[in-house]
Amino acid sequence: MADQRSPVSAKDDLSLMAAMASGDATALSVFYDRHSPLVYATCVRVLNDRATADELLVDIFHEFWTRAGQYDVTRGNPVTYLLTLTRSRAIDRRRSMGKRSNLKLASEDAASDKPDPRPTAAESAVTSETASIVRKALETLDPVQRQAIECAYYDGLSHTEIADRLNKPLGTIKTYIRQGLIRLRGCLRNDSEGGRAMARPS
Amino acid sequence: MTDQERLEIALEYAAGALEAPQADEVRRSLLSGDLAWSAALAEAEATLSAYAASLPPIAPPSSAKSALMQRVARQQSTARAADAAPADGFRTFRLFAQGFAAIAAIVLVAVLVNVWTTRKIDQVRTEVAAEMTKELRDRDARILILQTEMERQIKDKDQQLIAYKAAAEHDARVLAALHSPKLRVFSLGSDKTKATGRLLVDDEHQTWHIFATSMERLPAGKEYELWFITPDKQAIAGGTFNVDDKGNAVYTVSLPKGIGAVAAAAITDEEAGGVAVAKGQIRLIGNLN
Repeated sequence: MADQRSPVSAKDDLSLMAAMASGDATALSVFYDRHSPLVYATCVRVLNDRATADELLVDIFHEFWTRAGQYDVTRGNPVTYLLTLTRSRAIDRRRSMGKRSNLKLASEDAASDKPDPRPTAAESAVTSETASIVRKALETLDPVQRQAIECAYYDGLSHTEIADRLNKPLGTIKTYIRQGLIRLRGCLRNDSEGGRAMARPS
Repeated sequence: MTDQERLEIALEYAAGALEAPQADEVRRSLLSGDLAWSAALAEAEATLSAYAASLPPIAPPSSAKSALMQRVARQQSTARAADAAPADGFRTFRLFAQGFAAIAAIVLVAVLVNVWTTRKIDQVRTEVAAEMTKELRDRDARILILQTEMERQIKDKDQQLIAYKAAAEHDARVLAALHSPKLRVFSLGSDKTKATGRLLVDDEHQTWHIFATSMERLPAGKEYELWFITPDKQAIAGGTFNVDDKGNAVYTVSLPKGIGAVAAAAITDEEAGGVAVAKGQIRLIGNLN
């Protein structure tokens, strides 16, 4: 199902970044409206705690606003930068909270579930097409393979920690994660080279 | 390492799956400015952000945005206040500093101008004073020279006047003698020289007038001396005189009181100032009988 909202272009986000860098709070408001649902979803996914995710969401956008002037366009589009920052801060917050054990089950539960087939919410900055591509790519993965990637990305676990958690050989985990990420990247690249609108976050 | 291998490692790094030593190695490569690693990481992060985007979005509570915008507003307000306060203070300080600098510059310029002007005035004053002093000294010197010259000329004129008066008086006396009915005239002569003379005896005024010519000029320290010769052959000094460049002389003398009769007159060369007893050579002589 296609999202009826107008796609958000990288140029628009770049313009907002420039405006934020010059101190335009309105630009931050627009940028927040566009991308906060995805950032918030990531925070909730990593922290599994809504109250903490609420706080972290504000902290992340505030830091993003503060660092808008330091944004390096060569490192990727603004949303990539935002999501990289989100994951990093969420993992840090999760570790400081010492909730890893509690989150283990949540992570496992989440990993055992198939990706949410629901269409992207209207507030999402990512087109449903991109989300669909990613979900399709993830569907092709073995559940354990998908679970290993989620443990790495959302839980911040290393190869060894993931092997311990999933009770799999370290080499197998490494292979799972590497193959899974390469497949994900391959799907996105094929989609881009197929002439379709690139569903990169922006 | 191939690009593919680098990308695979970057994906694992971006996903946070690498062990600490491997992650540190990648981090070092990135910090070293390795463009290949930077590009690989950028692609890996883009891939993983797409992965993250596959999550079903969740609308955050409205309070979160309110909290964010309030924090940003506070931050901007604080920043503006922080910027404004120092700005006002700095502006005040800058205005003060600029004013102080301007005043200091004016004072400095005034002091320098004053010092320069004072020095210049002193220099000009000194130069003018020196010039005036020199001028005055030169003028005084010229005045002194003129004064000395004028005094000398006046003195000369006075002497000339005195001489003229004496000559006039002498001429008057000679003229008076020539008009005297008792005037007697005698000749004076010399056997050894060409010198000759006339003696005018003015008995009325008891005065002798001697006119001598072709007389030899005497050396320094010598003068001609007149002698009154009495009938008993006594020679009485009658004063000294000199001749001019042409060897001429006019000498007038009053007869000493109580001299009595004079038989002859003689002129000898003697020491300057005259002597009591004739010792020199007779240059002119004549009888009065």
